[in-house]
Amino acid sequence: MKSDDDLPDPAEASAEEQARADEQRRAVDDKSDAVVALLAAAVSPRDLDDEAHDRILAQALGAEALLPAVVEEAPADAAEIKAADGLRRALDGSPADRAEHPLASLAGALRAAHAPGSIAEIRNEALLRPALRGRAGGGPRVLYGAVAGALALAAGIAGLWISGASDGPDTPAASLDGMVEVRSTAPLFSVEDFPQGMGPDRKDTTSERIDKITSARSADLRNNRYRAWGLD
Amino acid sequence: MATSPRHPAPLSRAWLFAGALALGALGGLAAGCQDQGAPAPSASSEGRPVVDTTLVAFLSKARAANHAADLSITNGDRQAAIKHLRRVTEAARPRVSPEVVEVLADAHARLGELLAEEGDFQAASREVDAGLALATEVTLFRANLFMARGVVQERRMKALEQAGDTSGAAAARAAALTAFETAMTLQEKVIEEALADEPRE
Repeated sequence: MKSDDDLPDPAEASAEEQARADEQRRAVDDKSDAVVALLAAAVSPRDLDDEAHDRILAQALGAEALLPAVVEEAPADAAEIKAADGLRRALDGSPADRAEHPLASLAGALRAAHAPGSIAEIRNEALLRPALRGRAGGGPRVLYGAVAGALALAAGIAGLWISGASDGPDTPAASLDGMVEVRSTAPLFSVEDFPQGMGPDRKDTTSERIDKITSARSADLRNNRYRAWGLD
Repeated sequence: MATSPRHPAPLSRAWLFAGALALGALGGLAAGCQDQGAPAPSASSEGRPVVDTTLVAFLSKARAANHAADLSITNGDRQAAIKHLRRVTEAARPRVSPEVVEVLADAHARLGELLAEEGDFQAASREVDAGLALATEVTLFRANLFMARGVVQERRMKALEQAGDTSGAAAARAAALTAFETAMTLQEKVIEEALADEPRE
C-alpha cells in the first residue's frame, strides 16, 4: 500500500495536464475554440459586416432567396428569365404594353422614386388643376360653368377636326393618363415623301414633311391640353 | 325661395346652357379620341415625355424656317436659305425626342445639299455627319441623310472633274456610290419592316 508520500502532489499538474492547458491557452488566445469565441463576442461584441448581417436577417425572416449572394449563386431559371424579359419588353414598349404588365406600373414608380425626372409642364398642369378646382369653393360658378362649356365646345369641334385629320398610320401613343407621348414621326411618311431624283429633277420636300409633322403634333398638343384641363 | 317656372333664376339658366354645350361638345371630342385609337385613359401618370408646348413651338419654328428657306431659294438666295435653316440646327432646342431628332436630321440634310450647291463641300459634309450622329435609328430620315451625303459627293465629283483632279473625282464618285447604296439598303429595311407589320391574309 502506497503512503501519501508516494502520491503525486495535487498542486502540481501532470505533464499531460500541462499540455492540455497549453493547448487550451492557445485556443483562447487565437479564439479558435468555439465556446471561447462566443464568450469573447458576448463580453466585447463587434460590428457585423453587412453581408453577415443581411444573411442573419434573411434567415430570421425566412427570406434567404432575397440575398444577393444567394441569387448570384443560383442562376435564374427559364421561367424567371422569361418573366424578366417580359417586364423589360413592357418597360421599353408602348404605353399599352406597360399597361398590360402587372409589374410595369410598380417598376415605373420605383424608377421615378430612385431617379425622379422633371415633370412636363402640361402634366404638372393636369395634376394641379383638380386640386385647385377642389379648393375653388362656391365662387363665381356661373362664370366657371360658362367657361367650361365654351372650352368643351372648342374641344368638341377640335375632336371632330382631329378625327378627320388623323386618318393615317401614326397612332398616338397615349400614356396611362391619356397624354400623347413623343414618338417617331416615321409612320407619317413613305419612301415617296423623300426626294429620290437627282439633278434638276430632284425636288426638296423637307417643307412638306415638316408641315405634316407640325400638324400631327399640334393635334397631339391639343389633346394633351384638354386632358390637362380635365376635359376627357 | 320659390322660383317661377316662366322666369327661371339666372344661375340655373347659365348652368343649363353650359351643360348643354358641354354634353354636345364632349361627344365630338370622344369621337375624335376614339378615331385616334387612344387606349382608355387612366388616372395614373408615368412621367414619360409627352407632346408639349415646347416641342410644338420647336416644330413650328422649324416649319417657318423651312418655308423661309423655300422662298429664299426661289429668289436665288441660297445663303439666306442656309441662315434660316441654321436657326433651327444651331439655336436652343427642347429635350431630345424622336420628333426633335428627325426634324433636325432633315434640316442637316437640307443644309448639306444647299452648302454643296454653294461649293462648300467640307461644311456640307459636316452638316450631313451632324445629322447622322443624331438620327441613328433605321428610318427614312437616316436614309435621307445618306442620300444627302451621296448628293454632296456627286457635286464634289463634278467640281473636281472640272478642276482636272481625276483621282479626287474618282474617290468622290466612289464615296457617292457607297452613300447611295447605304441609303437604298436603309430604305429597303424600312419597307421590309412596314410590310412585316401588315397583317397577312
